[in-house]
Amino acid sequence: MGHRTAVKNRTPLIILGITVLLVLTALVLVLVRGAVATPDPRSPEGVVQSYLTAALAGDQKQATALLTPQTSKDCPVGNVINPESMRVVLVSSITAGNTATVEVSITNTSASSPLDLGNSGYTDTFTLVKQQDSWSIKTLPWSLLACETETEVQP
Amino acid sequence: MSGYTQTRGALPTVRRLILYILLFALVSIAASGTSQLLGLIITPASGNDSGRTTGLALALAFVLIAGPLTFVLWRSLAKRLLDSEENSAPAWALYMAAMYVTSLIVASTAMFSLLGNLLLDHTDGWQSKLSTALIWAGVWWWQVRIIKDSRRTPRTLPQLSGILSSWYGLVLAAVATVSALTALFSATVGLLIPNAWVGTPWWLEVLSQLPWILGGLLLWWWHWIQQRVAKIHGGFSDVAYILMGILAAGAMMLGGTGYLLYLVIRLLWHQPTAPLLTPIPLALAGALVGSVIFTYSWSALSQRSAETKNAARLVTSGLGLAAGASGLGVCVNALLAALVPPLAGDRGGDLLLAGVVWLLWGAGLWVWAWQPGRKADAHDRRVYLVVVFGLSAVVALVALLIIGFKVFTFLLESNGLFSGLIDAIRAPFGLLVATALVSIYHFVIWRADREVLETTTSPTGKSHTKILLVASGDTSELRTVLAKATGAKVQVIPRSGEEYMATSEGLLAAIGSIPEDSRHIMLLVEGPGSIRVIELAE
Repeated sequence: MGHRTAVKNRTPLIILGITVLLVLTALVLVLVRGAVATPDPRSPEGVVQSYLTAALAGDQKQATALLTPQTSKDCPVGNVINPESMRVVLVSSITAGNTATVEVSITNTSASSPLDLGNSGYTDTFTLVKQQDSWSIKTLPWSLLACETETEVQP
Repeated sequence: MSGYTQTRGALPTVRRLILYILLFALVSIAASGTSQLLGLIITPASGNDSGRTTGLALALAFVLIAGPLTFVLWRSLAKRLLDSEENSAPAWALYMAAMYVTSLIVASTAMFSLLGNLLLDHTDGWQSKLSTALIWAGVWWWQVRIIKDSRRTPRTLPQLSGILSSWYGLVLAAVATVSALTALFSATVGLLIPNAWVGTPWWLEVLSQLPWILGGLLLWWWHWIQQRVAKIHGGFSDVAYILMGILAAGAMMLGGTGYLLYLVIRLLWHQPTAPLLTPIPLALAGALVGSVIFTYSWSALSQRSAETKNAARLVTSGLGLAAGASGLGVCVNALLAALVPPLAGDRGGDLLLAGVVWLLWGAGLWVWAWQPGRKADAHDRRVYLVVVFGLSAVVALVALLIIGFKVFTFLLESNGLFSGLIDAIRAPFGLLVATALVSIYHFVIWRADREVLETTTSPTGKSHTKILLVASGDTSELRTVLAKATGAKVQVIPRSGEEYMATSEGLLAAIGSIPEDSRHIMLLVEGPGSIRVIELAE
């Protein structure tokens, strides 16, 4: 009975220790390793990353420069991306000749209640074409559109 | 002895069910028809005549058909209800509660929205709202008169209408207060960052909520204080008290304060921009209203039974446990997110902040309510432990399924990156870790409780299966004491007269004096301090 009570009294402390350890590890990792990935800026993933960095920073001119002329013409103006809580992670990247498909996962962090945290995410794809030795984005997820050119208003 | 009437088969129950449903439908139809008729009468005829004639035809059909039928049905039912068997039927009590609460809700929402609209200067359609409020208030008043009529008032569940209406009033007032406070605080926040608002200015929004706040408080006060619903203890009243005053208010308080903490701390790291500041007023309002109701309910618990106090403590610890466990899950989530550098965007700092805030806040509440390491009564916690295990099992199952799905997607597609997999499973993996830790802790508690239960089921050394107690006075505490001491099923038959009250010491002493092998005994209180033990046949 004495051994039993000793075991019983230690389990909550063990669990407390594990919890503290997890939280501290998370803190350390977030503060130390929180850099962004660095793919080759001329590869399809690199182009997507440059586009996203420019779009999230609000630099729509630079972002539009990475789209193909056709895409930037068709793109509706005025979409504002909320940079505060968005996170885009590379899932896969397939290159086939002159076209590339980059699949990303987009998540939005919201903390309004403890039960719906960080779970709203979905995957979507960018397709790129190689024009004159550099990649341009042909299609992209509508939620990441950030365009500058005015579209003609059709009467 | 109305508690002992035997039902003669299913016929009376079915008859009552059908008749009361019919009566409810007829009264509702007649009331809505009358209110529509009244509304059309006081509305001046405008150019849109076709709509008016259809409305008039509908109203006339409702009133002229449903009205007389209601009258006839009610006359025949009213005569039957003088019989005590009829007015102690549960169907009658349920009908009364349903009719009372429905008429109260319809009348009050029509009246308060009418007043709110008048304050905002929107006067279209006031006639129909006014007539709805008046007619349904008349129906409600009719129900009040039936309840006050001592010959027909329902004898089972007599307080059901009062309990439901008092909580309805409180909910109404609480929601309206949150809206008003949100408008007020948004205006204050708007002073910090200039942003153009469109729509009604803040003082008008607050003003329009005022009828709801005052009206809700009035309804709550009238039922809770005037009709003395607050003094009803036990049974459904306690259940409603715990559900609304502790669980709902506690969830609002926990959610509001946690979210507020997260938003405020987050402001230290980022520039105060509009998207960061807009959720703050709602969180603050929810936190304030929730805390007021929760702290008042908690302090008023002292008037209720020990079981209710214990249940309230367990419910609060459950809330804290849920919040703390999800917070831990989000911390693990942020850990994995930090391992996978993203292409762009947030690197996981906000996520970790949210996790830490919910973990600390939820764990704090849990520690305060549960007090780990304290000696607790094993019996009371069983239901709580089973619920915790059940919920953890469901959450863990769902998380495992999601993880399995993502893993197999990754394995079957040839192009996926491992970092993409980690990013996809970080949320369910965090939940899994949290539920695992929660389950381990509660499993240890459960095992220790089971040992305690097995060694102390019968301090008297006897095990009886059924005890019948015949005593007067308030026997609920005696019942729990007997059940805990002997582990038997205790049934209480109330005895009329004041001098047949028993004490728990007397009862336990009486049990000690009966032979070992009797399984069905009756404890008959014959006078103060004198208890007769009768062995019953199996």
